[in-house]
Amino acid sequence: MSILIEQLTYAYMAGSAEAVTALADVSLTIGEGEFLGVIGHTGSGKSTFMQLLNGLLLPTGGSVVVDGFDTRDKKQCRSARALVGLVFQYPEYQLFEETVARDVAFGPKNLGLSEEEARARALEALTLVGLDPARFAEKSPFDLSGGEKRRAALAGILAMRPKYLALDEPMAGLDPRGRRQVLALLQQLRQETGCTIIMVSHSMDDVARYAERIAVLDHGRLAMLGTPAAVFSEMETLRDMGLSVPQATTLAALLRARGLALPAGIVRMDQLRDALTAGR
Amino acid sequence: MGAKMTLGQFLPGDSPVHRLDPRTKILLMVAYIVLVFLVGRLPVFLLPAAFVVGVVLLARVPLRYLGSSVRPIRWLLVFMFIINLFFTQGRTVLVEWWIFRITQESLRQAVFITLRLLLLVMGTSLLTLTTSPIVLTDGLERLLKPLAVFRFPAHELAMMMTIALRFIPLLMEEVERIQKAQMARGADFTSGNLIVRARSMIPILVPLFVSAFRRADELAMAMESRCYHGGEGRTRMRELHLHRRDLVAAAVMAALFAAVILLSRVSF
Repeated sequence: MSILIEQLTYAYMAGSAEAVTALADVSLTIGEGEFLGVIGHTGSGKSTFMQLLNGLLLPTGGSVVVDGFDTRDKKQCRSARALVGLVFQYPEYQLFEETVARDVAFGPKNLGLSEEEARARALEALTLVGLDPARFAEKSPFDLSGGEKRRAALAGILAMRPKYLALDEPMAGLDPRGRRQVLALLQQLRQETGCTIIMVSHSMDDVARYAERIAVLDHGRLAMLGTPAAVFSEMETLRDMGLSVPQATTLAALLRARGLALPAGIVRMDQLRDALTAGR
Repeated sequence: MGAKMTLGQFLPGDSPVHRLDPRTKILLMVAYIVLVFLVGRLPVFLLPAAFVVGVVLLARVPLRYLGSSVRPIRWLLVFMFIINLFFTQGRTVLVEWWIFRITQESLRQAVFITLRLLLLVMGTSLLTLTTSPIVLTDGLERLLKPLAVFRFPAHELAMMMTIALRFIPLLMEEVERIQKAQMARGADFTSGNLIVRARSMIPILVPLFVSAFRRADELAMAMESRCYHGGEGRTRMRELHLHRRDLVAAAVMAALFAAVILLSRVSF
C-alpha cells in the first residue's frame, strides 16, 4: 500500500478572481516505509502539499489516494486522515490540555478509543519521544521547555499510530541539541515501527542524511524527484531555485575543482570521509 | 473565514471624500446622525438621502458595498417595520383583521422608522468605507485630546484601537492554523449538539489565548525597547491639517441642517 498522488493541483480561493495556484500537476507515489524529504523555496507549495496528504485541504484537481482511500470522498477522507499523521510547523502551539498526558490522549480519543486505551497510548507515545511519563505526564504542557513542548506535541500525533507521518519542518526554531533529538527520534521510529516519513526541511544536510528520496518543489511544480545523490548533483538548478546542496557536496565540489579525484554523488560527510580515505 | 473578512470594510481610493480630514469626517458623521433624527416629515428624508447619494458618487463607492452594510441589519429593519406597523395607535384604519389593525398613522410611523434606520446605517458606513482604520483612530485621538483635561486617556485609547485593528487579521490566521492542527489530530468541529460543539472549541481557544498573550507580551517588549512611553510629547508622522475641502464639506452640512429644520418644523 502507498500514497498515490496523481496530477495533484491546488489553488487557494479557487473559482474567484484572486485564485492562487499553490500546487500544479504533481504526480508521485510514496511507498510504504519510505523516508521522503521535501525541499523547496519559501512559497513553493510544500506546506500545501503536506496538508493535501491527509485531506485537510482537498485537491482542486487530480487526486490523493492513501491506501485506497481517496481524500475527495468525505467518508474515505476520514480514514485517510487517520492513516496520515500531520505534524504542523511549530506544533507546540496546539497544546491546550491541563496535563501533558491528557493533551497527548486527545488524538487517540478522537479516534474513538476508550479513556484507558487513550491514556495507555499517550504514555507509550511520551516514552517514545523521550519524555519520561513518570516525570512529565501530569505536568502542565505550558510548563515545559521549548524542545520538550515540541516533543510532547509530536507525541500527540504519534499516539494516533499513523502509518504515514508527515512533518512540516519539525526542527524549525530548535537549538542543535533539539534538532538532533527530533531527528534521532524519527530514525528510531522508523526502525521500530516501520512507518513512512515525509519530512519538509530547510536543512539540506538533514535531508541528505536521512531521506531515501527527495522531492523538490519549485513554484508549485515537482521540479525533481530522486535519490539525494541524484538530486544534489544538480547544483546549478537547485541554486536557481533558491536552494543549496549539503555541505559535504559543496566541499567535494571544491576539492574536485582543486584536482582531487572524487566519485560523484557525495551528499554526506561520512561519504566524503570514506572517499578521501579510500585511496590510502 | 480568513483573508476575505475585513473590519469596517475600508475601500481604498483617492476621491475628495477619501482625502477629507478624518476629524471633519467624524464630526460630519455625528452631524449627519443628528440630521436624520431632525427629519420631521417623510418627504424631507430626501435631503439626507440626497446627501448619501452625493457622497457615494463623489467617493465612487460601488453600490453593492452600501448594500452589504445594510445586509446584517435586514431582519432588524423588517422587525422594526412590523412592530411599528401593528403596535402604533392611530385613528384612520386602513386594514383590520382579527387582532391586527393597520392605520394610516401606524403605516406612516413604520415607514418613517425604517427609513431613518436605513439612512443612519448607510450614512455612517460611508465613514468606514472611505477612511482607513488607522487614519480614523488618528482623527479620533485628535478629537478626544481636549478631554485630557479631565484625565481622559485619548492617546492610549487610540493606540489600543490601532493595535486591536492590526491584530484581528493575525488572530484570524492563527485560528485557522490551530483549527487545522487540531483537525489533524482528529478533532471535529461540525457535528454534535450545541454543548458538544462548544466543548470542541476548547482545543482552539486555549492555544489562541496563549498565543494572544504571548504576542501582547512581545509587542509590549518591542514597543518599550523602542522607547515608547505613552502619548506625552509624542510627535506624529502624519500631521492632520484642515483644508478648504473640509470647510466646503462643513458648509454643505450646515446648509443641509438649515434646510431640514426649515422643511420639518415650519408649516407652510
